[in-house]
Amino acid sequence: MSIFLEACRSLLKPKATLRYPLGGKDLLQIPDGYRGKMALKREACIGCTICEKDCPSSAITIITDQKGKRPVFYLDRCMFCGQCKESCPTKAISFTKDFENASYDRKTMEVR
Amino acid sequence: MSSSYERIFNLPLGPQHPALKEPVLLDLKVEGEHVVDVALDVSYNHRGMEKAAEYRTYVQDLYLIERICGICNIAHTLSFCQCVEGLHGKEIPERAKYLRVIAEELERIQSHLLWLGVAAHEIGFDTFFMYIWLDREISLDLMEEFAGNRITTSYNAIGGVKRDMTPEVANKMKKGMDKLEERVKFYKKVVLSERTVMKRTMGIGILRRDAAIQLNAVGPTLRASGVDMDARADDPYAAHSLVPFKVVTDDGCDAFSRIIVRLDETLESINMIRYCIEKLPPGPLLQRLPRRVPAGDFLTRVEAPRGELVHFLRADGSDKPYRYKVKTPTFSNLAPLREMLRSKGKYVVNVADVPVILASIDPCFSCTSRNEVVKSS
Repeated sequence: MSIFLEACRSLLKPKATLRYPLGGKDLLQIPDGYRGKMALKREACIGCTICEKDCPSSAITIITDQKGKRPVFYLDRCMFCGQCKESCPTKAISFTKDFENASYDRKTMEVR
Repeated sequence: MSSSYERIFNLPLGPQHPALKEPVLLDLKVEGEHVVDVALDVSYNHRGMEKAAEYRTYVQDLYLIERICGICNIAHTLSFCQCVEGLHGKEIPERAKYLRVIAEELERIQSHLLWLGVAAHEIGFDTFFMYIWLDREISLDLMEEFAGNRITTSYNAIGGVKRDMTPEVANKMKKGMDKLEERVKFYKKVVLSERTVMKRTMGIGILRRDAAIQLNAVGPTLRASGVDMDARADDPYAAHSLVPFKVVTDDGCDAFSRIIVRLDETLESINMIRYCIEKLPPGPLLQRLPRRVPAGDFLTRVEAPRGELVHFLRADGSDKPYRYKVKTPTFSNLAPLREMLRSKGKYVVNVADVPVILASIDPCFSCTSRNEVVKSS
């Protein structure tokens, strides 16, 4: 009986779900420290390659640009565990709140 | 006139069946409506994780071990970290110990609410299932604030934890705990008063106290048979020796008492989280440890939401494990499950009760299926 009353009460409450992505996207509350798409502070990176060695899903490769060695992140392989951020000795890697990373093109899933 | 032997039929339930959430074969032997015996086969989910752990470094293994079970991810990483820290012979900071308890208990809350929803669904009480899972979102949102992700949290690190608890998160956690306590008390009232739940679970899946001990049941399944056994109390790890809690038991020995035990445990977990937030000591979060682990063996027991979880690590002094072995709670609960599914004397198991009995141990077969048993001829 108590669950019946609960069901009646919930009829008067607003919807528990959000209409995503139609209108509900702005209501989504992404907490601070959420592990979304990563970002690299190029000036802080010293090219030590520890992130590449520690990455559990081999989602990081090291390339050489004009300043020297730097990582490239592949979002299609990344599982957003945050170990690269933990391992980075100069705190050059950070995570943004951007979680909409799905794409039809693999080339757009690289973070350079 | 047929003999009694010929009246027994084989009724395979699974490996793919609408009543099952994961692939498992329950080869039921039925006599009319009554289940007389059952043969279990859990080997449909072999993922080779123990072997894979030998080819990765300890840092990478942390995330592999986490994925043994999504729901109990904190219990698995906690065990792994304790194995590595144990071989190093290092204590982790006091604050990290308390934060580990908070993470573990938050996981227990969401796991028990998930299970209660699944149990309500198996009973055929889908209204209840929907409300429980709606309130489970509170605990998942708190987990996201606290650890950065809802399920695979990556919270524990070798030597401590990765993230601190800010005062804002602590405030949100306290508010969330108040809300959850109110809801869980309401669910207990529903379970104790709703005839649908009682009719489908009382006297179903009986596991007597002596059988539970003899067959090595673990976790809430064991405690619902009246045995006071909990790895958090018997062999305290993290900050469990400092955080007071009551080991919840029930003497009902049936599926109904398993619901009650899990609900009471959820309330205990809520109180433990409150205590940890109050008493959270200041200090560092992480004790950095070398990448190479000294040679030796280490075994840990951790009370995962489903029961006692055992991890074993053998290290050979390199940066990769020599052998890693996991025994999950569902594996221990398979023999008791067989006992529950067999009609004996006045205790009768109907085919319709099988999904409820199976759900009552909170099975997780993809965690369990890591070893293949080969029959010798």
